[in-house]
Amino acid sequence: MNTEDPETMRALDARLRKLYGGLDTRPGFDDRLQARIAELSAARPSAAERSRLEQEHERALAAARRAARIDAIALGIGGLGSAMALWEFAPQLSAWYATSVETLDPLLVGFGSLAVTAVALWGLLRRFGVDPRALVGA
Amino acid sequence: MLAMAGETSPPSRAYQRQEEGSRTAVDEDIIALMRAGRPDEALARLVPAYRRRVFGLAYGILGDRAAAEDVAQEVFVKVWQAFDSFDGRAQLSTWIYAITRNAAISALRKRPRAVSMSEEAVATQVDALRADGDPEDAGDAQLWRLVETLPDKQRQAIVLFYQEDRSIEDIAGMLGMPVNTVKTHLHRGRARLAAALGTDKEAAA
Repeated sequence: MNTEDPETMRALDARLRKLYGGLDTRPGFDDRLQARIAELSAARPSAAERSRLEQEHERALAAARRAARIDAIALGIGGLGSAMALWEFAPQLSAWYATSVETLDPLLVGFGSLAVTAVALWGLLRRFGVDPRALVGA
Repeated sequence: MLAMAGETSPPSRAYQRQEEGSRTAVDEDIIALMRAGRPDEALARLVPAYRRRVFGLAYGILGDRAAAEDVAQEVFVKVWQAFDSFDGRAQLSTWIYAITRNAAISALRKRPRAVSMSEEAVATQVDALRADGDPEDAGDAQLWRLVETLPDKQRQAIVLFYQEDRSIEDIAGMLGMPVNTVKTHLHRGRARLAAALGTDKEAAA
């Protein structure tokens, strides 16, 4: 068969058109789709509800940002105050520490200092959203 | 040669141009409804405009009417759910065809095409195609089988072209490939079918 023969190709076109020309979904396709959409719509929040939830989310986000700013300022002031106090009272603190080491058990003083540092560090890491337990693999 | 295929049915071409013109207006309406936050109304406009196209594209990829219909349903649900995310940078049709191709390919991965079907299964598929109630023709099953054995892109181009006498540009948009590539696939597909039918006829004689 000559595949370039116009008559042959016209006959083929007609047969293909007859075979695929009616290709469409079964009747009731739109109804089935509408039923699915209705089912999903019922589970989906309405536009008003969605808008209310979005506003609520925005408000919660703004409050969290505000709280984070206040925390950061408080932490900065606290840190600066502590540093200034340490600077100011360094001789007295040093003398007190030396006396404590002489009068108390040095081991107790060492463990006490370590415990205070660890607690301070723990609090600081938690404030910045880091779980200290994850750092030590616990 | 493709022009010749079109020449056989000038009324269809005229209808097609008219349809393409109005489709743009329909697309604009749909986009306006989407932006106005009226997804249900947008879907009500979208389904009649795109149902046959989405179904034809899915059928071309899957080769199974029931599976293609499931994909078409899934596509419209996805489009409805994603109306908010359509930013209008791409054409609405391009967006819908991309969703259709992805959904059909995903369905194909779960359930590969069954090319070697029983006579009964072939008859079922061909019967389903013959929705217009035409009398049964034994040659239809033979032709359907031959189309099914064509390489994927050739088969898809053939199905989409003859489903509605679409333009090559339109099919290129649906398949996401250049116009000349579609022309080549269509040309080669038709040549293969003509050759295969000729061989079968000679063998029968």
